[in-house]
Amino acid sequence: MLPKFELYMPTDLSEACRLKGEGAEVVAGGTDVFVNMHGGKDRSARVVDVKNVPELQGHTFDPVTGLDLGALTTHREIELWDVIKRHYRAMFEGCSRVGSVQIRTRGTLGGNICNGAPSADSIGPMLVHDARVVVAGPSGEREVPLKDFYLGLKKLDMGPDELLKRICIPAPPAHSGSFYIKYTRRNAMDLALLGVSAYVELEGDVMKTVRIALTTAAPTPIRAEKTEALLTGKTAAPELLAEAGKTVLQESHPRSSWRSSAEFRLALLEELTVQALEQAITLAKEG
Amino acid sequence: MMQEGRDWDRLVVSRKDTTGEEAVIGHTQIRKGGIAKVTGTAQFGADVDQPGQLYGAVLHSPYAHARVLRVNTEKAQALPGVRAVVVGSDFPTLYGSFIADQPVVAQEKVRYQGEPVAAVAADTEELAHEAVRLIEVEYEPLPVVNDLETSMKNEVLIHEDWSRYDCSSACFPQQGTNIGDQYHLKKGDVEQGFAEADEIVESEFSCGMLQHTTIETHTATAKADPVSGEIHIWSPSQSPFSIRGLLAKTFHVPLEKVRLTVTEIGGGFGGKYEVRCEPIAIALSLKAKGRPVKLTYRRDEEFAATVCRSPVHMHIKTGVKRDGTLTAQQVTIEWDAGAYVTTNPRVDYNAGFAANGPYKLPNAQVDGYVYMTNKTLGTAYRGFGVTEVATAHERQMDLIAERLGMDPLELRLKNVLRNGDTGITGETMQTMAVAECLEGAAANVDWNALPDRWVDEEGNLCGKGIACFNKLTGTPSTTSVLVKMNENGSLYIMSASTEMGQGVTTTLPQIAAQALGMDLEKISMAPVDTAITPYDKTTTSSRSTFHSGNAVLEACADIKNQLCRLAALKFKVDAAEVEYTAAGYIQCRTDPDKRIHINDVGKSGILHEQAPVAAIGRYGTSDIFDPPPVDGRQSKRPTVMWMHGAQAAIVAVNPKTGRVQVKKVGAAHDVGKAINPTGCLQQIEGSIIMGLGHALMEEMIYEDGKLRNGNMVDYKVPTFMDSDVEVKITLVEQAHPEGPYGVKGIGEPGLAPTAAAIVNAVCHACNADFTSIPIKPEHILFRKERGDASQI
Repeated sequence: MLPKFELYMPTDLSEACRLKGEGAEVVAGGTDVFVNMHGGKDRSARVVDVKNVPELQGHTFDPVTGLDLGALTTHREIELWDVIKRHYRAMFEGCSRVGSVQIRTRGTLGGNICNGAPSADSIGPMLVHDARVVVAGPSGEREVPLKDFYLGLKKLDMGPDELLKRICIPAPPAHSGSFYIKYTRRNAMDLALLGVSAYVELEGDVMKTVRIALTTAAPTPIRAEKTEALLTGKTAAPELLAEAGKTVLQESHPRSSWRSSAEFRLALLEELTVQALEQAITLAKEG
Repeated sequence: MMQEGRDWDRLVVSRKDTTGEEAVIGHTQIRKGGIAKVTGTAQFGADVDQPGQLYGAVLHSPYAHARVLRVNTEKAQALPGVRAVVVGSDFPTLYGSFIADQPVVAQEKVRYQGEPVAAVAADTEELAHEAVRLIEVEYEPLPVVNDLETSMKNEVLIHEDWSRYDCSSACFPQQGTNIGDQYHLKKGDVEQGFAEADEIVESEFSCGMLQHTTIETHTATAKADPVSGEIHIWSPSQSPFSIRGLLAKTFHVPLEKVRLTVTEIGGGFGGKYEVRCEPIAIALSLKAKGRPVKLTYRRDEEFAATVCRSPVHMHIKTGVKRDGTLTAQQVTIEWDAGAYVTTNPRVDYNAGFAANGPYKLPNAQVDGYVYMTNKTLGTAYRGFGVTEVATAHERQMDLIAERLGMDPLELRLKNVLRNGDTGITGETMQTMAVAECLEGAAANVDWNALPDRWVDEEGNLCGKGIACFNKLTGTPSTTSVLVKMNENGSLYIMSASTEMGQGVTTTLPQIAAQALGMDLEKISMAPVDTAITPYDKTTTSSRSTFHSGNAVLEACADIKNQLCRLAALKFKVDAAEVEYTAAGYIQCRTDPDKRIHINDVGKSGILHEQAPVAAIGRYGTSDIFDPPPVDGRQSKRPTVMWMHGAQAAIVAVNPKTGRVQVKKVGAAHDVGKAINPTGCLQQIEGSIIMGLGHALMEEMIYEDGKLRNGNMVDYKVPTFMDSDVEVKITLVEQAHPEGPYGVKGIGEPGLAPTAAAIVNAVCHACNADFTSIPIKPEHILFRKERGDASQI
């Protein structure tokens, strides 16, 4: 049962920011907010629906500048967009595995980023694609690299009266590839028990740039920078990837809980890191 | 008639009263009521609204075990719009179908997290929930009995004094312990059987705790008049008459004052056999001066405060000769049954008879114990314990086969009960087709062409597994139906066999249509209401088409006689001159031109201003039943109907991620006679996906009495995306001599061998011995591979 609340549906960005600043809960697709409300965890008296704010809408791709995604872009739009599958494979893998078709049709990238769940499927892929977020508020706009946007568990680099407006993702150069592997206990309607995103840019056989992100390995999705450093500038040999699988374990500190033992998560992390890198390298070779 | 569109076949072993050429039975028919469900017009429990209705909400205990020291409802009662608040002392009554151990809302203590402690009825749902939050309860926490081990110590008793409770003759608690029921079967002498064996094989197996997760949660709307004592309930209840009886007893009113109107049921699986919302809604209505109260549980309440399938631990010891002949088997079953006894004695009983499987065993022993724990309540779950014991005894058969170096199928075929063999209670078995089922299931996965284990092109470890089972239907039981003809010659069947998706409201009209030679479209099922519908014991135990079908046949015979008498008046001949032909003609013997087809009765005029045509049909099994005595449970006829079947599974296990994919399941079930083949196939297919969940995914996880995953995200029911299993089914028809057209039940049996077959396949694939379900990826990654079979 949903609690009673005042619903605002502004069409103006500054109005939306003002309402948020006054304490209204922001809702876009509602796939987190309404679930929490039904579960009794969220009793917000005021809700601001930002779906009618034009600045948050639309999504374009430019081969030079890359993706310009409105915060309201849905997982389903990403999933069905041929550009994504071709140039941002990790994002396709992430967004197409969120919940179900119904949830993907409602849920937005902006919502996924701002909810900041450790298991968020779109964040790891956007991290390895070096995404930046555009935050708007009364004092104007600022751009923040996504990897710096998380200050801690559910803590974002965003003021009370600021809204996530857009997400910008550079165009991947030639000979680059990315991949995301989501590990779940079932094939749909499930949260990642673990996720690994990888991005590799090749120069010949040498890995010129490597980015790795871990999902559900820390309170927020994180980059595995030590492992990235281990790989960068080296030739992608199976032994090196196996070593990366071991190195990445030092960058993750999973705890045992009823959901899974730490031991199991670590075993998976090692395996999935190698697999994600292999897939990204294969795609980079094709690209 | 419609096409099945599935990969299946039929194996006819024997027939009863059929030729296979029938027009209505044996063919797939469109489900009665299916269109209303698909188009959204069907009225389920929560769709019921009564004039002047209030809304109920329940305060649930946060503690698994605690004394309730004080409940302060002042603030809740003061909230405008709150019409009634119920606490334990308002209704100092206890209920339970086997032993009355359960309060309407907690009295002196709470025994599981989620137990109702107080309830509110208010003008709106929001208000009711707000009022619940205003109730203050003071608890004194008690030590929690979280598992079997703790329960067995009896240091903390969940029920201090069983003798205080009203206990039926079918429940056997042990005073001073946490044992709420026990079951003992003894055939021959197992010790002697073990002495005669060449090999002794012992194993342990555990099954996890499961939620029924019906799409529709528990709900009830009650209107209870505190003056007249009349109670009317609307609820999606599986077994309206047993619930009516229980509620009358609980609220101390005569049976006939309780009326239960059954709504459409959004899934049962045993979970709606228990009363849950009903007594609380009644209590609230009584306190609200008779205003109707609707109480519908949210999904989190469904998990925490309704019912589940008990976790269970089993130990099996088997003696076997080198040639594979079983000499003795001893099974111990320990149910971790939760805080109240509920239907556990029946689970214990049914599982007890099934625990040795459909095998020839000269010596056998079963000891089953229902242990109470501070967890949500175990109850019936599609098969009453049979699935759990089948998983254990079928794992054991594979271990025996490995020890002997025999093929698992061969070992089973060597030992299965066939016609004339002596069953587990000393009964002479009849109408057996387990061997045919095993062979059919094996053929459906090409068993003989496959090795025990292999590796596929993707590096997955693959394996095959097979399992069979036996299950009895509850006996004795009785049922009755009323078949009445409308003025236009159409028929209503009134039966309390409730529709839960299993298809009984299609099979009963099919049986009537066949018996009368009538168009199926002219036959409808009436809604179920205990004030109107004739008595039926329960809709459980896969009994409905068998029992109510027999009653329908008896009523149809009477309908034929009545129509013949009416036609005789019209034909102006003696009633004895008129006969009812197999083709559905009511016809004069001496002048066949004088005849009326059953489909034309309405317009024939014979019904006009005549005594209306209506008939009662009855069926009961008390006469054939040989009650199994408590001491040893030996009986010449413990049940009217045994059910059998087998399934084989092929799995692929990813050794790096531990994920298991069930590639294929071959099934063969003895349905006696498939009245509606697609209905049978749907029961089996649905069961296979349900069983896949049980084998690999589903479990309720408790830590210190607290349910950790009481929601649909963290409790992993298979989705359609997990159901990509190639299924091939054989419907075996070994006609039951007492079933209508030879029918046997198929509501529960589809589930019985699924988890067992998958477990055996995974064990083969991984060359490891998994001893519990669900088998999760972590179990696979950290498995202990074993060496050769002699070390098992």
